[in-house]
Amino acid sequence: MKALFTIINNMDRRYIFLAMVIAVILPLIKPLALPVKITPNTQSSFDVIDSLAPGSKILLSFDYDPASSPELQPMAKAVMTHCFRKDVKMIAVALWPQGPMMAKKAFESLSSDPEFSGKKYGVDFVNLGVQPSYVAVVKGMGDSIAGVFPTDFFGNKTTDFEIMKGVKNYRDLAAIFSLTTGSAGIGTYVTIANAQYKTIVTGGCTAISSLEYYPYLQSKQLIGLVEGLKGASEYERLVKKPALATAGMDVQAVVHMMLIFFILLANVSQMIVGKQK
Amino acid sequence: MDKMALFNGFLIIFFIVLFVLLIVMGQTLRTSLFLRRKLPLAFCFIMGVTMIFQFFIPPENSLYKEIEDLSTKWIQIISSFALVIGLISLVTMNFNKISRKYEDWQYSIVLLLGFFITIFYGLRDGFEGKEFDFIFNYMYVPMQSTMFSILAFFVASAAFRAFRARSREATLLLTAAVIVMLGRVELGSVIWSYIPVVSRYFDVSELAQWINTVFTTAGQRAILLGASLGYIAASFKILLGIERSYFGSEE
Amino acid sequence: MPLFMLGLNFKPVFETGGAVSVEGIGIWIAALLTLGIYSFLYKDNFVYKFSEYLFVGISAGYTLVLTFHKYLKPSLIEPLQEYSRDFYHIITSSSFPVVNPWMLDWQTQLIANKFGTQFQFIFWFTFKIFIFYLFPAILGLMMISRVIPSAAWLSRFPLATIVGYGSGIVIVTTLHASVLEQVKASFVSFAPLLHMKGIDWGIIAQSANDFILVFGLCCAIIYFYFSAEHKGVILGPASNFGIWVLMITFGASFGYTVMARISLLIGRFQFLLGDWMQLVK
Repeated sequence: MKALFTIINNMDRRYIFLAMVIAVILPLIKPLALPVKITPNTQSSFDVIDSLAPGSKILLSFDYDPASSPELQPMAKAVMTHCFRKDVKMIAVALWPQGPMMAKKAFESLSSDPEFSGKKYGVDFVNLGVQPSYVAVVKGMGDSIAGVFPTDFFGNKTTDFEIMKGVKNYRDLAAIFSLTTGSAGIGTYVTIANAQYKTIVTGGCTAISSLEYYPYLQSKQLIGLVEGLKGASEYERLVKKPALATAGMDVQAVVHMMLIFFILLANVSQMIVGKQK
Repeated sequence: MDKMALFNGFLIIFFIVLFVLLIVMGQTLRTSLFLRRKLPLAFCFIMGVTMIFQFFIPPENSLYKEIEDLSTKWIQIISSFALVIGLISLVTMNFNKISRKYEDWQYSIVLLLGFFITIFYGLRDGFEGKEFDFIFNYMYVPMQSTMFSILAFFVASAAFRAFRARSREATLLLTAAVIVMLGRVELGSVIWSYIPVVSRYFDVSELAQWINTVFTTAGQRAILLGASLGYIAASFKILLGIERSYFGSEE
Repeated sequence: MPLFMLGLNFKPVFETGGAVSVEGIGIWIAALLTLGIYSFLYKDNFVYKFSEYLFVGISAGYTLVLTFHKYLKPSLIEPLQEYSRDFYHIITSSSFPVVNPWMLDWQTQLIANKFGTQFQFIFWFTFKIFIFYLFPAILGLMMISRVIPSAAWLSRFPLATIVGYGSGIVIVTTLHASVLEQVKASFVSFAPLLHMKGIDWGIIAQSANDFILVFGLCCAIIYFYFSAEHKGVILGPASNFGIWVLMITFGASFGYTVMARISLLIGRFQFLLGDWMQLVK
């Protein structure tokens, strides 16, 4: 018995890697189709968008790069689907250099969907791109969005777009939805846009940074938070369009169980081997 | 159109001459303590105090708009130049590596090839170009997301090796982690329903949510308050010139 | 699993007509790069190194393209072009329309003789261009002087400007949003408990949660307070409970970290098994 646990204790980590790969592949090939339960944070974020009148405009901020795209890209698509259906217009900006490319990909994949064939760039959605120094960007948009982003991502003049008619700064926006990873994003919008201009801020983030925003949730400076892949799958369910995040949650469940098993196994073997020493 | 090209040429030459003048000035005046230390600190102080002052002006006031407009433009332009330094040093470092045949110099060729091909298509077509899109979608995206996803394997191996209940605190940490991991996936609720008695009163996802809204919020808020106060104190030190490590290693 | 191994149906590189499919090639390249990077898990090797350097190169290239097209062009080069063109049109009284709203305003004032002499106009124009564009550009060039060691000290000016700007904003916004608002939100109200009619478990639970939240927060702050030794009847147990709260926080954070990392891995395998091998829809 002790020998077995000693082997387990000193196992080469590559076996763990292999177990991970198997635990990821199997549920992808044979989905478990687990139900998706909606958590309160996702629901309140959904409600913010859902309560907007048709034709109102939101700022959709793409504050992430490809590294976080498995979590945030499905979320972005679900939120955009919701906005398109509600006829809420989206002004996309980014605080991360790669954000505009992610926005471009999301818009391209949604506009190829026959459901949204009527949605036009510059009318229902515009991609203003990115500017350096995110604090200056978020601060500057309080005065003038077109001042911070003189052109869109592709070099066209911002003020020429129909969607920008009547939009000067945060006061003309119904809400801000930030898709965040890392330091630039929800935190910046809460501390500047919400604190100074009282704009409603909501958003989604990677699971890794979501707990950072819980104090802002409790103080209602941030209304709702879509957390990680789980949150994305919930949003997909809320807009009734299950996609990659929903499929991914099956895998997530299996890998979590495996990791919990590993943690327990390691602790048991530690106890047995440690005691007999 | 011709005049525009002439103007662009003039602009480029103007900036080059300006840069050379600046360098010459920098080399001749480098002994002046006033220029080296006092004037930059004055810049920092004036800039910071102006930004603080601006918060106390109503946004409808024209002075507010002027400051906002001017400061945002300044910071945007300066930050854009700042990005260039990193690129210059990356390219020169790799050229050096190749010319001196340091270890792994062959890979530097790959790096420079990737760099120049990307900027060739990027500068030529902007962000709408097919080739640039191809490089981004089929090379940049998969490589970056794969590099970050490798961390999943190391997290798993760390969970196996380091996550041991050695003390009361460590047990608390471990229990919280396991409950959250169970509570955030639906399979967790399925397994939880097999646990007698407690499963009748609440679900593991509710338990995880409760931990987050009560304990984690308290802990995160304590960290946030501490960090924010530290941040504010550090900012004051910078404004007053007490903290000037950003000046570089000489001082 | 030999069964699905036999059924492999990789993304084709050629379309049905025989033409090369750009998407197919792209997916193959992406898949090979992905596998190349994963080979690092077995051990460090040249395929991994190749991908790593290529990634840094492309990433730097992306930054440069972005800096030129999205940062410098719209915020420095294009305004300079536009202003100079308008200036030229106004000075030469040409019939070309003036584009910039600011210049348009000045032009009307000039025509209505409200601006003063042409010399005054030239002076204000130069002043505006200098303050808004040339001065930050000079600071930017000073930043680049960092690459020449003997003139590197010039970079202190732009750095001081950026750092000063950031500090000024941080002091007010952080104090407002992350300190005062957070403290305000911690003053929870227990009034519903007093006005409760009969026993309402919802209100009791809410109040209990609020109490734990505030009590936990105070204890955690006491733990962070290092000016007095954590001993005695109050500070000792309080800082101990503070440690527990923080441990639960870190545990939950670890759980979320694991979750986030696995999500990224899932994303990659969805690509490999879906787009490339076409095993999953």
